[in-house]
Amino acid sequence: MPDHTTSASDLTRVGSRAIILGLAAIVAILALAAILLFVNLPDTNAFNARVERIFVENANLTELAELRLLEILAQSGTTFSEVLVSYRMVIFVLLVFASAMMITSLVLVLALIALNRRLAVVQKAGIQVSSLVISRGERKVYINDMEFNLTEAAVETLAVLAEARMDGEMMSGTVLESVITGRRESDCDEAAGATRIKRLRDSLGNQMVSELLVRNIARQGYVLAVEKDVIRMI
Amino acid sequence: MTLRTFLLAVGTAMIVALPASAACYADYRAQTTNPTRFHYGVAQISNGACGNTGAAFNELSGRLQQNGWTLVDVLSTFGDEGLGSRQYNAGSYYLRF
Repeated sequence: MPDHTTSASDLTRVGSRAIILGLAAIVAILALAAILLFVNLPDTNAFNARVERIFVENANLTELAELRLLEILAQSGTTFSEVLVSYRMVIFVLLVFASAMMITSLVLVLALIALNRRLAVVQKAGIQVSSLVISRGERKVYINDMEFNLTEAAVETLAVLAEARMDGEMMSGTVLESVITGRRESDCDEAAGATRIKRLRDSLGNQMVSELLVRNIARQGYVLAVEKDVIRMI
Repeated sequence: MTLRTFLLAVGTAMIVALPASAACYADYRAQTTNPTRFHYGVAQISNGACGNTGAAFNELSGRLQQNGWTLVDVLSTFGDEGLGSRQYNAGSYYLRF
């Protein structure tokens, strides 16, 4: 039985194919419109040809004044054909503009869809850490430009964890304790490392919740930092 | 003697020339394209083409072509008596080509 799975790379491939198809369709439609327009525009000499046909078909057109009048008609046709040439240019420029606008709007709409999708993912994931700056000297940590104060031990724990993350390593409590204190692993206790983690979580978690969820506004009180319409009681 | 011969020759020439002066004409219409111009004109044609618009057409079309005009049609051929009524409409193309 074939499995019906789609992956993220499948989706992006489908999306880029849709973009290419959309752009090709726009260009094709506008090119077709341009060709039809140019084909359907009357020939610049059509007016003169009509006047000449009138002259040829009517053998009784011999009066001087009549012939002058026909010539004037033909001259106005020539003027019209000159105007038509400039119209053609204008129409062509407008078509180019129109295709540029259509392409831009298509790309923008697709970009907007992609952004919306990403925004929805971010909103569901809760806090997403896009930057983590650890300042050992000031004993501060900046998460997404939010500033948190930590104790010296907590900053140390966080720094060790961050270095291990950068190396792509996992740390047991024993290793953590041994790195921080500088003692051999055999002399270190798993529980001591776990305690350090607990203190870091307590300190950082407390500050994050007060920053993100339960706000304390000085001399006014406490308030939940969430929108009214997202709260529901079950 | 010589004077007589001369006078005779002149007289003969005048007699021969007289029917030639009863000339033949045709009225026609011509045009140019680019710029578009039209004219109605009267032109003298050879006596052989008199009464035959087809022959007159052949004769005139070459003459007009040299002047940049395209002959559209020959309406009629006529003698001296028809000139007066056509002079006004032919305007500047009266016996021009």
